Amino acid sequence: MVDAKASFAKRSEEHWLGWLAVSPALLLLIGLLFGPVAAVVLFSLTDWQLGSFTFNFIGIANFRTLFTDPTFWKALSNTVIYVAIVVPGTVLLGLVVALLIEASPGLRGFYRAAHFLPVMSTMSAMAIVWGTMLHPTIGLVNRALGAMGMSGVNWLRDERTALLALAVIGIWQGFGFAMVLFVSGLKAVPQPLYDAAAVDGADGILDRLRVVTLPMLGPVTMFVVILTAKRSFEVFDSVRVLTQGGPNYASEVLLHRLYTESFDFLHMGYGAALTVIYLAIVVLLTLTQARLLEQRVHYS
Amino acid sequence: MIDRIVTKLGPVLAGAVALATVGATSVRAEVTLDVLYTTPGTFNALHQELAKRFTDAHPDIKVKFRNPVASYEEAAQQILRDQITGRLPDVAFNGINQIGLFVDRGLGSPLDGFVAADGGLAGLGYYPTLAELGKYKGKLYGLPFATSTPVLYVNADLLSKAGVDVSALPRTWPELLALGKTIEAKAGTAVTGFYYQWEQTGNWLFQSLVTSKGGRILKADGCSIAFDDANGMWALKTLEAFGRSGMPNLGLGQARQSFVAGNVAMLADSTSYVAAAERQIGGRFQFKTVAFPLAVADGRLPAGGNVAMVFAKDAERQQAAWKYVKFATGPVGQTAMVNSTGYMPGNEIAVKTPDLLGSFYAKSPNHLTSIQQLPLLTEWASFPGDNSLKIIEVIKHHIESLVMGKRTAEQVMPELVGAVSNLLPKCGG
Amino acid sequence: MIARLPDRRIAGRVARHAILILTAAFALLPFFWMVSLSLKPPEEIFQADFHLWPQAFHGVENYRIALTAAPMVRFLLNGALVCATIFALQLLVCIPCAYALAKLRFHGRDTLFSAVLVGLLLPPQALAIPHFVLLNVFGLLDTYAALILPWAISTFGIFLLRQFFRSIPDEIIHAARLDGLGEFEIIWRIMIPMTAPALAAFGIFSVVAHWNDLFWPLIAVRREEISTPALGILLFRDDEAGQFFGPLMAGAVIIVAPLLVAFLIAQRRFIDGLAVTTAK
Repeated sequence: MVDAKASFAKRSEEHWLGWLAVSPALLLLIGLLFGPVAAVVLFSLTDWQLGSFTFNFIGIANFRTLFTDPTFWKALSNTVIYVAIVVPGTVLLGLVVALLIEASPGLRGFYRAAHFLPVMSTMSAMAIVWGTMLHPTIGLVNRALGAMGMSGVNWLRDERTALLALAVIGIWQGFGFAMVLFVSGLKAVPQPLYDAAAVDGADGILDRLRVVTLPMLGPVTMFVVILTAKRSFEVFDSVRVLTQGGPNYASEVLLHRLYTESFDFLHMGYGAALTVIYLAIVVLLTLTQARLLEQRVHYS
Repeated sequence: MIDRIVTKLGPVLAGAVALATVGATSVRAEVTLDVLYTTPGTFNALHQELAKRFTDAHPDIKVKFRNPVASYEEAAQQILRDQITGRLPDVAFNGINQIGLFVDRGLGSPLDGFVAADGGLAGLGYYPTLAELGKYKGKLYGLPFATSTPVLYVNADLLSKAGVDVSALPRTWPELLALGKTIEAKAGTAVTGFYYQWEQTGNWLFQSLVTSKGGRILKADGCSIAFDDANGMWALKTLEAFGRSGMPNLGLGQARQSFVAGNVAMLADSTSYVAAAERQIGGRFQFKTVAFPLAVADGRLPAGGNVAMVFAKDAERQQAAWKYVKFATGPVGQTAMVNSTGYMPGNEIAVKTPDLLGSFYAKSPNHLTSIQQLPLLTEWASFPGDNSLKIIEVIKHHIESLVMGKRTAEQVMPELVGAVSNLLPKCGG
Repeated sequence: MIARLPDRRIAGRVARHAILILTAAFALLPFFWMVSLSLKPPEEIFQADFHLWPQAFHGVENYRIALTAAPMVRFLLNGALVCATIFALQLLVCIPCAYALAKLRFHGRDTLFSAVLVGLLLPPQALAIPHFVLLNVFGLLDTYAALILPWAISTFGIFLLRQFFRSIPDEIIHAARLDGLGEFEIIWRIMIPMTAPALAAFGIFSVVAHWNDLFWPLIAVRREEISTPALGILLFRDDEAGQFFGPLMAGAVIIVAPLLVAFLIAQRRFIDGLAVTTAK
């Protein structure tokens, strides 16, 4: 039995210890995370230039410049299209591969490793390799297409296909990650559920998928979708290395635009305004997805 | 309890702090030069070798390289950023067209004093025309390190399949386009007959068209547009013709790769790639370079390539930087440069000395084409004001719409002039 | 096994292998191509006909150039140093915080945890401008500190570890307290060993993310000698790199290999680590 006085002393010691333990993290959270967010919002409302010591508040002038710049809208729409291609592509491909891998024991380790390698690889280096594969005449892809009797286009320099090519590269890098998450989700599905379903007549592959597997994978799927969406919004490396946003902004994306305007052209105000918009989009998107998907998924 | 943690972590933290500030401070007895160069694919090995040779001869000066950047535009962007963060390089090898951009912002140290003290431009062996191009507003800021002119790269084998000999190559663009089409028909495999490197940095090959017709990009005052005249219109119309002839959109690197793979018959490009092209073709087909077609007898060509500039402000560092610049642009440095790239040397002593480059050109006729165009050199114009780099991008996009067959010259000219005018500062300022 | 195939077992398995080989080929093709090009001499790289294995083996020369033209080994060492330091700092900061959030009671604990959750949503690249300015003010640009400091805090790490710490039963901790162990000893002697898989998973995420990061090093670093792998590989490359393609590919192989080899050796650990994270 602990008497009241001792528990009170212990309680305040606990408070003190708690604060001590979190203080480094708290300091860094403010200094490296929330402080900078506030700073960016501040920059976006001023005409401050890197290196100067004075600034004036100019209200939403930076945002007005941003919203009347067609390049910004192009970057925004391109990023949305990119995400819209990469997320379903990655999730579906990852799911299919995971289902196939788990379907029987043969060569599981090899398949898992092979599909996961792209996830571990350094995108800036692999993008260079993809660049050679996508060369219009001597690249592997077009030569293979030619051997099959089809003609290829200049994937990275044709306005119609540049973004698509980057999206394929994005799917290439991400689907192994989705696969691994789905595999662990599949392993967690209890066998008795399948047996019960079989008793009720759901015995075929498709039935099993529909009745047991997919519903049980609900939470994992949600997780994979949110994560993949967040990662694909952050696409930068392949754009920087392969197209630099071209041709004619056909593959320009938000983060690359942010980098170019802030660090190449030193338009800090514009860059900050763009950052604020970017932040808002990513945060809202993730929250919305979490909310929407949570409603549709059963936690059992 | 807590002091146990602290004593355990203390040395770790101290070590981390020490390590972290290793880069921030540099206290050295000798001078270490901070050097920036571009186009690493072409120049990596060369600069490493030059730095080694230089330090062997001057043990008290070390040379360290910054991460090289891909293009002159990127280098300019970085240097402007460095000006703000207070971390300029000591020496930089920038595009010839950018001297004004830097000097107007207070960057770059004049080299006249150093040159005079060491024997003068003639004594040091610099080609007068090239040395002139390194001057801005009367002072010398850049010495020629690697100079280029536009030339035609020709796949002689593909030409002979169409029954044409290289020596009989036509000298006007419409004829070259027509020849390209004939070659494509007769080649037997999918080839591109003619490609024009419109994407070259700083709109260089657009400027080449204008100057080859006797025109100018900027007026003599250096700040108003001169390409809105008949010469400029001719250049735009020529680009439009390229587009209408079905020229593919290959881009700088891809077009070169295609050429060395034997898939392009004629390529209008900088002479800078000649040495690399020869190495990669490896004798698989006959490769020749031909002079760039001039549209009028007294047409000119803008000098491309890069110059060595000194950005150091401190006197001791400037001395060391000057020594390095003198070496790199001197006979020894220029010999090494010519041997590994297709650029032209800025130093006459190198070319005339038998041990250096004397016999080189006899063995490598493809390099000679550019040298023969030396008398035609004129300025590679860059635009004044804050938006210098943005203007280059704007021009590039307009050219792209022409060579992609999307717009006509009549449509593009007024838009181009308008857009560029908006980005130019008021003259006289 | 979670699904038993019907009687057409063999056909089913063949189909499975066929499809998986295709998708695996899609995943592995760029790696094979990269290695193939890294072994070829300049004349073969752009030639019209296609060979996977070079006709004239030029691998030694290419790798030699790659290692000498740019300090590849230096980049790898920098990568190792930077990633290890970042992870060490992250552990230092996140473990006590996660423990406190999981097991201690104090005012503002839940607010702090909400802040951590919000932090999870923030894309790190959005903070580049203020981080750049901050480092510039302290004169730390272009140093190892610039590469390391912005990443010293990881909301992901705090979140992950807090979930794991929560799953450790309170009784163990009370027992330890009764035994006279102080809080930090509890963390060191009990919590950390019991959540080793989570720590490993966190480590893997952190190291892979920072080894492969291009965006921040591109902004923060200029000097070759502190460049990290993702940045280093671009140093060869430009539109005129045609002549250096073989060495460029060799360089790419050198950059990419360490993580891949580490993964192949410790496959189980990687994949279990991921599984463990998902579960939480």
